[in-house]
Amino acid sequence: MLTSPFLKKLRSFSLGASAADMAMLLLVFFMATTSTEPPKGVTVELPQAVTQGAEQDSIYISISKEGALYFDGKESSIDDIKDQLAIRQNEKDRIVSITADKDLQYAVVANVMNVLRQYDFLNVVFISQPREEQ
Amino acid sequence: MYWLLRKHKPQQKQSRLIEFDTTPIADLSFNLLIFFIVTASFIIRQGVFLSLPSLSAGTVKVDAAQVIEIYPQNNGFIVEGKPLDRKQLLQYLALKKSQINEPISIIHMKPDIKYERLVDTLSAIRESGLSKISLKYNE
Repeated sequence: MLTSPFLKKLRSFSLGASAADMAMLLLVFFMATTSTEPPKGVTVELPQAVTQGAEQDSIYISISKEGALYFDGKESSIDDIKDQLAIRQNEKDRIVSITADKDLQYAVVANVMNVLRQYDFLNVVFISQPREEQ
Repeated sequence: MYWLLRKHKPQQKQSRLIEFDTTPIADLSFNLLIFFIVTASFIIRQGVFLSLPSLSAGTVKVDAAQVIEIYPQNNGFIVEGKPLDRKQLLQYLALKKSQINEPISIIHMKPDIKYERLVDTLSAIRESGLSKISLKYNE
């Protein structure tokens, strides 16, 4: 109980405002920095490699073991991919992430890389899983 | 008349300090924060980079001594006509790196070779510290 005149003059204060500020700040930080799951299209068994770069903001091409192509998560033919790349000519500097099954024949990948070269998308990253030392 | 005057009596200045209660904002923000932390995916996939040559790129003459030709197979590698496993390839590349100035690795890929062999070869070359790589498709 506040009884004395001096104590009555003191006003209680809460930390609500600073807590809200801090929470908002953290919220904005997380929203800005988190990356969303890239479009997969198909689940593949990745090859192993000593990985070097992290892919961010890429154009995603997935290739199944059977050779089915997926562009940004949607099943596409090679002609569809050509059309998409032609539309995205202003995004040529973006990295193209190729997520292909490890047992896929190279001929399919070579065909895709040839199309990428035709449309001047020259930065490619072959998505792989970290190599387990044997 | 009195009731009218009473009704329009000027209001007394409010002595109470008007405060904005920020507690619900803090609650809401923390709820959203927890939601984002729980649902966000922090998986950043990694891989092996390769810069493809442009179609308009010209040809480059290189000294034959600089060239290391690697033929990936589905069960290993063939280099200088000899079959090598991964460990032997790494040793070979390390030796070549010490002997040759700026070696260039040429990977000869056949259409029926598995894609993982390409990634593995690229990975082995990068592990050896070689940076100049050429990819050749042997149809």
